[in-house]
Amino acid sequence: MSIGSILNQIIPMFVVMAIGYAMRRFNMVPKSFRKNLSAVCVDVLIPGIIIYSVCVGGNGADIFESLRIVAAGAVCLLASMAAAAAICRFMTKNTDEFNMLWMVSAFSNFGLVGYTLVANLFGSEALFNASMFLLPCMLAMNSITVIMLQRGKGGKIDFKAALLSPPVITSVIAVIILILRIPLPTFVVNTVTHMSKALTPAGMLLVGMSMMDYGFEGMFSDARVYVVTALRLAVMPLMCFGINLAMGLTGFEALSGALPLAVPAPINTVILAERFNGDTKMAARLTLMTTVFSIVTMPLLSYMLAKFIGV
Amino acid sequence: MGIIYNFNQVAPLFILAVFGYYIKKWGIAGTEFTESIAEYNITILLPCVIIRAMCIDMTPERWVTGYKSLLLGFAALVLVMLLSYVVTKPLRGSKPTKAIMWCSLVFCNYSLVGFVTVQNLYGAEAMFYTNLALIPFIIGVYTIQIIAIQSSVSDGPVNGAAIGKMLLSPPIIACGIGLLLFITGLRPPTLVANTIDMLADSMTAMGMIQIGMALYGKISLDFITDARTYLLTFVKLFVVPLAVVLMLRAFGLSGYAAAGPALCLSAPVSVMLTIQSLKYGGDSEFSAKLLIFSSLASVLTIPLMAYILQQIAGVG
Repeated sequence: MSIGSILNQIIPMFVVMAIGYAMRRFNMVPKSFRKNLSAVCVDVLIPGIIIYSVCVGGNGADIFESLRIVAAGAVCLLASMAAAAAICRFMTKNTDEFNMLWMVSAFSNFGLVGYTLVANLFGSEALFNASMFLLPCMLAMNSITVIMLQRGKGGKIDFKAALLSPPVITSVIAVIILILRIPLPTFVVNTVTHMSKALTPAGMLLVGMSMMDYGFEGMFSDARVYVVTALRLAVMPLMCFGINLAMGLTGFEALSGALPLAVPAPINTVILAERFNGDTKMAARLTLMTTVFSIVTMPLLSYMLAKFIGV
Repeated sequence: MGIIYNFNQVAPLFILAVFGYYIKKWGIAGTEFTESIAEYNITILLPCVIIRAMCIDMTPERWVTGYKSLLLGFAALVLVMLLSYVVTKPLRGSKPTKAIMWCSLVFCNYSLVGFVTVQNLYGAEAMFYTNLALIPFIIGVYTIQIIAIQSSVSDGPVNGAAIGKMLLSPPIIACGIGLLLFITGLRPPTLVANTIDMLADSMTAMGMIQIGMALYGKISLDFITDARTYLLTFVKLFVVPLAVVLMLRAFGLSGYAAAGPALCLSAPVSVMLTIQSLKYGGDSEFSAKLLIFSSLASVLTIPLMAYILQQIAGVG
């Protein structure tokens, strides 16, 4: 995957973001559009992409033979969340800001960008390894993050709402599909494929609209944005790569698991922030910045890690 | 491509529409979202679908067939207008109701259902020919349809300013850009093409969600007692596409060039008809009835028509 092809994939995301910006700038859609679109994304499109990730991640191999990889994924997830919490707590005292900084540090856009990167660079075996490795992450991403977002809102955390949300229920269904190797009917695969194609533009529109509504002021002088960007794009993937090797995975397995972590912040960050009244402004800034820097870091890190294991 | 293939391609569209219905029913998104998403789809996504269709790699055969499709699109519009006149003339109804009947047969939901169905069932080549052949129909929605509705409710002059404004709508401008790309052979740079692809790809989900949301609250069983809705829906979903595919075959088009435009015309009545009826004082109640019944019936008829049209057009 050359820099040129990465640019060709990533720059359109910025164009869509600019369209979102313009839509709000010229009042083509009301401010409530952001809230409504994020609700549709959380309750409909994200469940679709969770099932889609099972389809593209592959469900042909025996999951029990891959338990080592799943276990490494779980350890990496815990390590990432702990490291993100340890670092981000020094960055802010504001709970909403902390939530966003932590989410972006701990989770990547593995479903939409990570899998594509791994599949394009290293093929279907690496893609399967990645899907096993990210299984715990898939479950945690939409449950723990929703619980986190409810912190600091004054009331009690609604665990029931968080754990029975459509993304969490779908994640459980996705894991069952993977474990039992349930073949999905073609029309279901086609449906979730359509849904997955709608999520990225919708997410980038939301980023653009948020940038319009909140403004760029102070964004480039906020050191925290750069620190979290570095955590997301370099530190976390390298740390997980090291953990994978330490846990006895082969170089190729370690690479397949770590590489989907070296991608920008998940679109869900903005969507969930909007949906659960989190810090959408910070979420939009982090999504924008990690996406910009990933143009350089994704190919660089892929090359370095591949060179390191001799692929 | 058999009926099973068609089902696998068409079923997701209706599943997505059902999602849209429940998004509205369960209040996941507010009422105003139906209008906002329509604005987004028509202003941003549909133009991308139209322009992408014209970015296909050109071969000498595609040039020739493309020009034929463009010209025969006008002939198809005239044919459908005449056919609709013949069918609706003997039916009972006031002048505004008759205008709605006529418009419902001539124009359909190209943007949200027609193009999406052709793209998913027949692919990029069929979309290219369909887009060219449907240009007169797309322009007609913003001109002929408005004139028909306006002149049915008033004897005064037609509001030219409104039509002029509609002609500058993004889908019409996209048709112009598409034609330019076709005639000149120019292609957008990869970055622009990828952006168009990304947005056009999301049209299926967003469009069908919009349809589902638009249908919520409108579904009533009024149409059951009105025999005209059965007849008009039958003509709309079966007779019009069959007449068009036979005409295109008679003029030498075959394969996707004949099946694509006909399949696009087998889409149900457009939401736009109801919107324009409301705006210009037409019989919006009757147009809503036709919209509901034809949309429900199309769940069954589109996969079937796709198969029949393939056979007639000789799609391999």
